[in-house]
Amino acid sequence: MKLRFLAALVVISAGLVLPARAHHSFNTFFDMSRTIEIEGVVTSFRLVSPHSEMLVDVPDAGGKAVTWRITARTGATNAKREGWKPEDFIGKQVKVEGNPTRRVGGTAMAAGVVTFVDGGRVVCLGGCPGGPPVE
Amino acid sequence: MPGTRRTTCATVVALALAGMAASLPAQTNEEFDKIFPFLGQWDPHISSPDGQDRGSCGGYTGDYGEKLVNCTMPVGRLPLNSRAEAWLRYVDQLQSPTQADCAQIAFPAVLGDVLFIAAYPGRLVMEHPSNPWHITRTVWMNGTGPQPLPGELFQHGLSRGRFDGNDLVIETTNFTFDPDGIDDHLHLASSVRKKVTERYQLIDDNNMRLVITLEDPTFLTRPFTYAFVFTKAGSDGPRQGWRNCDAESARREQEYAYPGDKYPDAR
Repeated sequence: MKLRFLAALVVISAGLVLPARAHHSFNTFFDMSRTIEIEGVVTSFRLVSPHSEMLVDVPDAGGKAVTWRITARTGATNAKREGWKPEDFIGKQVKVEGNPTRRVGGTAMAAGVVTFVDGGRVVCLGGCPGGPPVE
Repeated sequence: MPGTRRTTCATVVALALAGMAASLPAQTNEEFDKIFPFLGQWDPHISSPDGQDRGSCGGYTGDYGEKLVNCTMPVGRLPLNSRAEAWLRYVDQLQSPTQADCAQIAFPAVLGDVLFIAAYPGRLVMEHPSNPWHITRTVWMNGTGPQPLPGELFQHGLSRGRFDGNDLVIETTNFTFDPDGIDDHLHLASSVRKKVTERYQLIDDNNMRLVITLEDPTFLTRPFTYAFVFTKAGSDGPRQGWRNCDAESARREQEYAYPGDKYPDAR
């Protein structure tokens, strides 16, 4: 019963989300038909608009760190509303699931879901159920 | 005895006030009466399931052949002149000021978003909140407001409003040249000759039609008119936000994620 109430609340909340004029089309920059996952350490997380931005160092085959740029699918205001704090992310080992850049060989993605390797906490950066509205 | 005198005095004053009130005309303010039904927040319901990509851009493609999406008007029907066609061949996404430099999107593209209307004597304040911008403009009513000197230009122009019957009509001129000035996803520019006419028509208490006429002889062969409907979303103010666009981050999105490379020497 409680679950049903929560589900209804989510549906109602989704309906209240006002359409936002998008800064750019995500599908133009990122391949939204493909999903990839990376794992590494968060080195930076900036709660900015138009989209919050996280840097993750991912070791390549030789063990050298390659920086991935993660574009959240929402802006600074929604990030604050979600309670995201950079200090909760920086230095943490995370898995990030998202849509890869369309640039060949690029190391960027639109995310997506962040899972903390220690503790299993999951954060949606937009574009997934229960996450903040896409902007 | 003094108490009786006070009572008599108060009665006289009360009667005098009542007499004055009766002689005053009923409080009417035509300007307020006309604008009242338009006040509040309006939602154009132009959206898609995930809040992005509200529609195609008439088959136009971008720098690497991608299908452009998320245009705010039926751009496939825009009466483009040969200069506009040439502009679309020349332009590229990486120079887009709205994407690379956090510049605010222009009128009429911004009109496809949520709208909040407030009114004061002689002017309206219209707010257009959207990520990463929150555009607020003053619409000067019935001839009030500043008189710009010839050649004084503003990014969002100078808006003047009036009522035509019950329609609220707003004409905006004095725009600066804007590389994304007609549509920021088509990346079609607008010139200082742009004129935007908005005609707001109440359909009923909760629905309003907006008819937009766009003129710009620099890029269009004739005025272009299109329309959509808003639904009233309440009288509360627009959802507030921290609207501080980070140009550095926006540019990095382009640098790391946009595959188009139309002008490799100017990346």
